[in-house]
Amino acid sequence: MGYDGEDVALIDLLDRLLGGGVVLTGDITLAVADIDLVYVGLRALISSVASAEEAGVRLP
Amino acid sequence: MIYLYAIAPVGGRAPDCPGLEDRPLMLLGPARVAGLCSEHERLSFPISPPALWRHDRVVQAAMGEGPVLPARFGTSFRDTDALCAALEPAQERLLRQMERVRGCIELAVRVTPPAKPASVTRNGVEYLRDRLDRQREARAVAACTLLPLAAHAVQFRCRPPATAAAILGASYLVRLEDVENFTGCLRRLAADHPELSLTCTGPWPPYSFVGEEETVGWVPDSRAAAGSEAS
Repeated sequence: MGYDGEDVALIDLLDRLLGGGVVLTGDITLAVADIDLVYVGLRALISSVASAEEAGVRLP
Repeated sequence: MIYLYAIAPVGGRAPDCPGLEDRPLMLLGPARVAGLCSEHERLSFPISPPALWRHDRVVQAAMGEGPVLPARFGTSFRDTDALCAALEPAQERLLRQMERVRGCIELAVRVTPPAKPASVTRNGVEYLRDRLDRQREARAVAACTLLPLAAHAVQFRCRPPATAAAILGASYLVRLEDVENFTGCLRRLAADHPELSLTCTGPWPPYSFVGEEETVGWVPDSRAAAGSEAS
């Protein structure tokens, strides 16, 4: 599997912005193609694929 | 709606660069910490490379002003009161976390072992054995590449090896004065292991080191490397 530098940077960015960062007791609203994907109040539980796998979430 | 990019100590100033939707940035918050925010009418933002890069650019710009804690993409609040209500009880913890990342950046390293032909497994036992072998190999590779780099970092986190794609990743919190030693070590490792592909991206804001828990997620076992060399 090969990625160029830009792809690798984008993957690292996605991992960090969706799986890292401070989580406050705010709301996180993310959307894909203008459709709300996840809306979680209180402690948000949004993770990148890697975090989800780490937590034992089975992904297709 | 108030969109949050990062948390900073009070007394700083918001960077001049634009936020999402080219909105101006502002610092809002309770007494001791401030949220770096922009105000919007919409309630959500699509996950798109331009939006993600913009969020990152704002945090990077804020890092020039002092220690900041990057917020997870998509963190938003109904209004300023809701933001302050979320920040206020967490002020002590947030200030402690700021001290931990002061003067540090995050570097990301990926290690890709040489590609192997896909094995054909005949039954469940073979499948599990094959999976175990791959995990063992991944740990050995991690031990001889990711662990030596940790000597130049304040903290590090490894991602457990994925079974499908044997790509290993780790995040390192590195003091600015240690970056040269870190990259020097990375170059030496790349030269010592030409069979592996090593990539490093950064500097990132400390996205992976602002969680509440301070433990390392997964530590490659150095004994795995010893076992691998012996066999």
